[in-house]
Parts: sequence; structure tokens; C-alpha cells
Amino acid sequence: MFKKTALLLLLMLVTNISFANLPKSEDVKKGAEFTLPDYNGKTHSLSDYKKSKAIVVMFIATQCPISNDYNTRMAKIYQDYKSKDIAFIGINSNKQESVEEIKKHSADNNFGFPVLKDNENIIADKYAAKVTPEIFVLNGKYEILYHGRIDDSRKEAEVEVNDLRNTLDEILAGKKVSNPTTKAFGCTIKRVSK
Amino acid sequence: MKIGFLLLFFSFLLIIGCKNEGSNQENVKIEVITAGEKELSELINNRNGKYLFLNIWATWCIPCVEEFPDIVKLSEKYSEKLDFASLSIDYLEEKDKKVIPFLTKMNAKFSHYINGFKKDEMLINFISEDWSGAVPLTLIYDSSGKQIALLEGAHTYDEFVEKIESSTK
Repeated sequence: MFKKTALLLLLMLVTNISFANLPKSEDVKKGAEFTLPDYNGKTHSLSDYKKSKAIVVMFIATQCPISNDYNTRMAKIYQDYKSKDIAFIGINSNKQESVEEIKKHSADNNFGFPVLKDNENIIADKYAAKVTPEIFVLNGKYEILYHGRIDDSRKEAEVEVNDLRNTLDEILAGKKVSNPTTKAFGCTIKRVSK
Repeated sequence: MKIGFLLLFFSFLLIIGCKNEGSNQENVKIEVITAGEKELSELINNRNGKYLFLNIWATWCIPCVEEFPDIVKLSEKYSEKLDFASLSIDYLEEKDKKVIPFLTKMNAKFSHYINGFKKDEMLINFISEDWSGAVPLTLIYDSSGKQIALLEGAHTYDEFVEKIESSTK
């Protein structure tokens, strides 16, 4: 009985996802440096990509239906912009999604870009990332040029505004990003209790 | 022989009992209203002297589904003080297949809505500038329709109780 109660209490603590301890999104002006392993154990640092015209940091998931709705679109955007000196980094901060699962998910969806495992959601906390998919576009000084959604509809057929593509096109054209913040539904990142 | 008959008789009673329990659950007819700005404004502003507890959720959202039984319990505990409502952000076409079966299983006897806004961002902006779009989201409105609490992410029963008690003093 005691064991069961203790287990239940532990489960309640672990599954309690609250954003009370995160910094406010609007207070996060710069992307934080990180060094994280990909699903093959190779480490990637944000600084590896700082000479790119822009760095797209994407908080994604393997099990979230919303994130998965965007798999094809993410792979396509990567293919369309990788040769234009735009770097793409996927980050998985969900505590319940394993490295093996991320590896298979990336292969199944032909991502091409690295997907890094953010154990204990340290980087998600620094970016105040709350959901998947959630996008940050940084310049070489790690300033956040864009934060938000990939586009304006979970259903690809109903997309009217391609926010991420528009952002990247503006950066490549040397223009100021016209819509630097957008919002969208997403699955909450499953965090470890701290 | 007698024991066999008795066993058969009690098994029969058990089956009838289970059936009745099941049919009670089935009798809860769940209606889900498609909500645009007009419907949500009416829900929030037509308060009749009561507070409103509004939970925004989706069947694909694991923390939402996990906290829902507590919300059902809260709706029973605070039925005199607060109106309870849920707003699903599942696709409209999933209403009959996913949303209503889940709410029926939960035996959630309060008002239910499903997102009818043309774009997700329109609902997010309608609810609050402070909402990132993460679900679950729970809001408490006072009896004049003013938003007095916004809770992003999943919460425990005790956390909800604490928030309700402090917000509705």
C-alpha cells in the first residue's frame, strides 16, 4: 500500500508540467549556446553553425501528432534551404522519447538535419521552449530573429502563410524579418521535474 | 448441483449489475458545440453570478488527457460556485470519433466546445496575449467575465483547488 502511494506521488510529481519556473518567452532575446549529442553520439554545438546566414533551431518530438504533421514540411524546408547556407538543428527535449526512437523517427522521415537529445530539457528551459514544434531562427550572434510556428495551419492543404519560409527568404534577401513572433498550438514538451 | 445453481444465479446478477452500470455511463449524452468568437464570448460573459473554469485541451495531448479526470472531480466539488466548460482544439471532423467518446468515457457532465476558429492563432489571440499556444490551458473568469487566472500546462487536483480557492475568495 505504502509502495503504491509512494509510486503514485512520484508519478504525480514527474507528470506535473508547469511553466511557472521558465523565463517569459519575450525575455529570451538571445539563443543560448549548447553542446548536445545527436542520435549517433556525435556532439553538435550551436557555435559550429555561427557562420551560417541563419540557424534554425527546431524543438520537435517523435510522438506529438502536431509535430508529426510537420515532418514532411520540415524535411522539405531543410532540402530547400540547406544549400543557401541556412543551418538546421532539431532538438528533442521530451523526457519520454529515447535516442533510439529519435534515430528511427529521423530516418523514417528523411530529416537530413541533425536531431539532438536535450536530456533533462536544459536547453528547452534556456530557450523557454514550451511546445513541439517550436522554431527559433538565430543569426550568428545568436540574436533571435524569429520565434514561433512553421506555418499557419496544422493541415498542409490549408496553409496560407509560410512563416518560417518567409523569415528565411527575408534573411537571405538582407531584409528585416517582418513578422518575428507567431503563435501556434503544440504538444507541451514533457519535462523532468526540477 | 445447488452450488452450481447458486454460482450461475450470482453470475447472472453480476452481469446485470455491470450492464446497468455501463448503461448509466452511456446515458450521459455529451454535446459539443462548435465555438467561434460569438459562442465563446457568450460563454465567458453570460455568467449569472458564477465563476467560469475553462479548460482547453485535445485528445492528442497526453497531459490534457491525464488531468481531465481531476477536472471532472472539481466540476462536482465546485458546481455551486463555478460553471465548468471544456474547449477541445482537436480538428472539427474528429468531434464524433474522438472528442465525444473521450468526454463520454470521462462522464464529464458540463459544457463542451470545440474550436471553430478559422485559424488556430485567432483562438490563441482571443483567449489571451499571454498564451503561448501550449495545451492544456486552464482559465478562470469571474462573474463579470473578467479573466482572473491563466494556468498553462498540466496541474494537479490540489493545485487546481488552491487556485480556485484563492481566485474565488
